[in-house]
Amino acid sequence: MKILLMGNPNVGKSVVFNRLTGATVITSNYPGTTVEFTKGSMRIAGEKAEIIDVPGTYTLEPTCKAEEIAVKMVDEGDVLVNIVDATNLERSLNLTLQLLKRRKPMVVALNFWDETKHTGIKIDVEKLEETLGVPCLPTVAVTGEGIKALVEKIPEAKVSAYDYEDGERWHEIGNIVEAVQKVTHRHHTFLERLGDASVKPLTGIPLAIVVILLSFFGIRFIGEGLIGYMEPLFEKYWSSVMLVVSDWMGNEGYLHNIIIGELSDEEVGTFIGEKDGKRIVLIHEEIGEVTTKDGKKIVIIEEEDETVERPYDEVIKEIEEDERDKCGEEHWLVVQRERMTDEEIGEIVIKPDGEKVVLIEEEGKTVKRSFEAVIEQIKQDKSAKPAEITILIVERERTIAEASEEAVEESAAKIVEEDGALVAKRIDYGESFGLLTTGLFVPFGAVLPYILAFYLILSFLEDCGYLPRLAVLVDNIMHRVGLHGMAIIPMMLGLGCNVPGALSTRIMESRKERLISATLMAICIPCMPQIAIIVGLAGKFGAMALLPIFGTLFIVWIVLGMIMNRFLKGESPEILIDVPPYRIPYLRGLAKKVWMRMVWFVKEAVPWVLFGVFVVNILYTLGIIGFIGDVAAPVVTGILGLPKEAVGGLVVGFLRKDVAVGMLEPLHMTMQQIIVACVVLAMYFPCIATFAVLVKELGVFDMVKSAAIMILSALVVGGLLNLILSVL
Amino acid sequence: MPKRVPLTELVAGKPATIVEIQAGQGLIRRLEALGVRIGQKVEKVSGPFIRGPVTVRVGNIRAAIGFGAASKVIVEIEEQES
Repeated sequence: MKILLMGNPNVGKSVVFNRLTGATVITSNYPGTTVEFTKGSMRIAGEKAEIIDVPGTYTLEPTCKAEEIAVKMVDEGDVLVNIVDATNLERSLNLTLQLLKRRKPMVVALNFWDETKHTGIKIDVEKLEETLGVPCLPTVAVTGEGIKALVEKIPEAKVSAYDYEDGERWHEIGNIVEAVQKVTHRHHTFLERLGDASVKPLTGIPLAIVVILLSFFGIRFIGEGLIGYMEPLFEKYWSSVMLVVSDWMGNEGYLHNIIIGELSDEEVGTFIGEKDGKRIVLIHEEIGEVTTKDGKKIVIIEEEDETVERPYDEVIKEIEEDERDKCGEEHWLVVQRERMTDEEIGEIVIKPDGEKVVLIEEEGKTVKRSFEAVIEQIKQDKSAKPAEITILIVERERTIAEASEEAVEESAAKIVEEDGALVAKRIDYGESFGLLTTGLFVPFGAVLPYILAFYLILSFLEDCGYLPRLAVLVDNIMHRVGLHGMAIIPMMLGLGCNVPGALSTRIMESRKERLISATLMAICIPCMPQIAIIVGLAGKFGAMALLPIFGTLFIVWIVLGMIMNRFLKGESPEILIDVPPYRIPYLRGLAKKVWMRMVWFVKEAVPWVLFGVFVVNILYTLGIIGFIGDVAAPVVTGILGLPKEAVGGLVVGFLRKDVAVGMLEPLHMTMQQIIVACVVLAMYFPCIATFAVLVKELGVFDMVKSAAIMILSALVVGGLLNLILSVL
Repeated sequence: MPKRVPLTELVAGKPATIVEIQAGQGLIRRLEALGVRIGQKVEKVSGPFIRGPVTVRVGNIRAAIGFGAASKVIVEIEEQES
């Protein structure tokens, strides 16, 4: 037996579906959440039945692709469960009467029954049942009220004998509504007034800005907070496990490097002799830059995510509390460039004869060079400015045991002696590119926290009914790019993952709109995993790097949209949507939805991340990246100004964008290169999962068009950006 | 004689009745499906802000109608009862 759940958009068909089958499909409070039918099964009166959640439609005369799917499915069903919005009986009856004529056994569920009370609506269910000739019953799907009764009613579904002239349908509906429904006057509720305020431009635009800012900071706050929990998990515990595995595998070799990756070396200190029969290590540590502010000597200390300024004397006193610790100052010559972190050249020392020299590390050796000569050399590069800075350092004398203990406090390490020094070997999750290290850290340590944060906020916005209101407000801008307000839905979903974003382009009516919205989404909307890694990579330069990246993507979105609107044939219909009332999200439903999306991410994305990391290793080992890099050098280096190794990111970006951005980390690029690389990686092509969906949605011909636009615009924009940033 | 204006020019908050939709069958059907049809009482909630959509309330329904479509929906402003 095939049971179809049908009804107007946003009447809660998917909620009923979840209730009936115990399955999980995404539900929210805007028309068009379900764009594809979902199948599930349940037992009714001991018999196995197939239940299908059909996309919502207002009529059997479809106006968009999602509705077409719905209409085509009617004939396949054995029983129709027609979900009706009890607060909008008239509109629901339009579809109901059309469905009755298909002469299929039907049951009517009057959903949102709880809302009829405070909207002052009274419906005589028995009379409605009598008139329509099919069983009718009230339900509140989100809480589960009436669902059991609905299941029991399904075997009693009847074919109605109700008949009417097609031209008289609205007249008939009017009569039915008059007979069964009574509306009493009532005052507008707070939610209704808030609902109206958020579509009026005067109040709606400031509200939208507040909502967007709150969402942005909410995502950052939750995301970073969670990363704060995840990082120690990896740095301390997972690293210890990985170090053991590394030992088993002999710490090197092809297989080791694929599974674990190369370990990073960090010098803990150098051996300086013995004391009480114990060998002593001298730990040399930089505290911060010394400078004066308001006539007082201060130290600028860079901590993990903030910079603190503290009085010089106070810092020294605190450090020298331990008698074995001695503070000192070092003078360094650095090169300052605009919009970049300072580059250290070498330590400045004054020889006994008074000559100033710079100690420069060159290929593992320290070379002494005259101060003046080095300054002259730096000045040849006009963008560079030499500067002297003073660093507060501390020298600690420790036994090996003490030093080792300090070294593993924050993150696990294997401590070894190498060339007269104590060295900590660690797992570097950013650079090692092992399957079990970077391969797991990227999805779980870096991306998942942001995915959770994003979907929490998005799901809340979906369920309360804000998105259609945002659609109304942005309708204007969307018109410039040949779309209408509802195109905000694929863009918002695309921010989470481009795959559901691409699927949701089905709510757009015309082929032109679908092509434009899918292309703009795929080019200019980086998905959350990609954003998380971009923030990690470029975030160290702060807004100076992040603003140009996301700003460029936004400008490209508008300009490219306008160009496509101008040159692509086809029509762009106007917005015409139902604006649902604000509803207070049902928390259990919301939590379930977020959970489903997380599970979906782990199932769909993690295998691709692992495969991506694996491919990175293979490509490097076989020298393929180097080869492609040489071939593509004129474009990658010539036009985009990137190191040719960055081509690896472009190759892997086809599999997974987050892994691709992560590959840029070991290249230690300049800020300009990072900006260009992030923008190009976001734009040049969708990842394979999105690509597959786009081919299905747009058809091969439109996808070829779309792909051509992507590659071309990525090159043009990347090249221009490189040029502009070089000139600035 | 009651005043007839397109929906776009209706003053927000003023009750009116839809009397005519000067459009093809396709648009009329889509508006009907949403609950916006001839004979219905409407109240404009907002818009159009620089040719943006008009949001109207029809009974319990709130619908956003694009500027072009809204300018084809003709309403009759009700006489103020005083």
